[in-house]
Amino acid sequence: MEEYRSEKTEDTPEIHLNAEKGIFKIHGKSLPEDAAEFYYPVYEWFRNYVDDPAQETILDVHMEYINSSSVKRVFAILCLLEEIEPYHNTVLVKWKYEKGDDLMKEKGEEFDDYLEVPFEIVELN
Amino acid sequence: MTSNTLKLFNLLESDDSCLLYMGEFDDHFTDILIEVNDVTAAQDKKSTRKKVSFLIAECFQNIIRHAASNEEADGIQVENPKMFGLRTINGVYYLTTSNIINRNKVGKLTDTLKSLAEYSEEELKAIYINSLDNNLHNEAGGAGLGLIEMARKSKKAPEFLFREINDQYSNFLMQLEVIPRNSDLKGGKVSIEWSEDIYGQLSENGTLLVRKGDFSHDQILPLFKLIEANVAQFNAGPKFSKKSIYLLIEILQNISKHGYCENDRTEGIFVISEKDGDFTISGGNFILNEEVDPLRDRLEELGQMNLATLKRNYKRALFDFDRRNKKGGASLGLIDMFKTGPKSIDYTFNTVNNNLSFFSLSITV
Repeated sequence: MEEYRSEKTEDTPEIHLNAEKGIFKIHGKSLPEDAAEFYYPVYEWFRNYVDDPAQETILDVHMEYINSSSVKRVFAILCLLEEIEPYHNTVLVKWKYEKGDDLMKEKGEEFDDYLEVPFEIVELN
Repeated sequence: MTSNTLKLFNLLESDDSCLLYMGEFDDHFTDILIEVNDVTAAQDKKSTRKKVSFLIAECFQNIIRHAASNEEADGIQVENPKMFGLRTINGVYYLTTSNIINRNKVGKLTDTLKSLAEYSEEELKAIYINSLDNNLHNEAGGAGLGLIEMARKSKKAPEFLFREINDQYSNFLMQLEVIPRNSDLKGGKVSIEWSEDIYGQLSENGTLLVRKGDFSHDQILPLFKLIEANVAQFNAGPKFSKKSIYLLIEILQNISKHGYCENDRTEGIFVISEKDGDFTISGGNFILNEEVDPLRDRLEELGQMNLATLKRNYKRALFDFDRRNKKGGASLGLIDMFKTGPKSIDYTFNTVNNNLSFFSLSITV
């Protein structure tokens, strides 16, 4: 599967998806004007990926700032991971937040609650 | 009822754009301010933008040079915060600063500023060159290089006034006017007394930041950077949490996405203030009259929900994956505003004309 890369900008996160190397990363600020448009290729990438996933999928999500429309799009992407067959594959969302970032902690807890995907909430110092 | 946000918007009605910042200045403040101005004034000539950038930096330096230190001004700086203001009215720029100054500097500074007003452009240039020749130390008529340069670049001596705070300190307000070269634009729209009045109102309300003007997406990013860089300053007292920043982003983007747009301009106002440890984040923008009732109904409905109901609605909105909704997340954002548990959410709608109303939203955290 083709690698997907989107460099970090002032209002969008760095996104790096490489199935062969096992890199699944969303990191940075997510405040785009049109989150639906920004996350559409990412959503499409995962939609294809879940049909034939790698043995291990660990999605590393670390958001510094986020707007509500991005919350919705990221949630939709995480939802896709529910389609990965858990008996033969490892799938995990590592939801990272900075110590004291009560908002991202809460978002992680909500997502963990709403989704069937294994979730690990990691506090960074 | 007229909201404070609308009152402030009306007070600054003639401003094409306005940025007023009260409080302490971060090291990167000048750079970010220049960036804000470069985006706001993108339609202006490069020479004008460069001149304004230079003056922003000089104003900032002027505060550093002359202001009483925080240790000296301890106890009076809360009521007399520093201010930096950049306003554009009919294409003319007005830069205003306010800072506490030791009263033993007032006499000399008054003489300097008065003398600057008496020099012609050529004389100012000669004084400037003379000052440079004398290793920057010669003070012609008492004027330091910074003030001479301000007068030279703005083609006009700074306006100023001093207001006594106590027997040791005064507040020093200074204002520069910049009329773009080769234009027939007229200045004189902002008197120093008016600036003092605005300063008084803002400091009384604990205002930290006012931004009025266009809220297109590219305009709000540098503003967000300015806020982000200065969150540490806001944090000097109570905590300005990430949740507060989330609400702040929502308010800014709500103006940008849902504000009435005319000629590619989404006019609005954004205010952050702090009182007794509580931060209030306010936004104001025009909306079509037909949008008033649905929005008011939605806000009232959300205001009556308890946390469990809000969470249920939030979950439902999260699972609504309709990508066609370009303004995506709008409903989610409103629910989240209530769900994050702010101390209060206030909103008002004021009819402006047959077509438009002014919508103000204030969240206290």
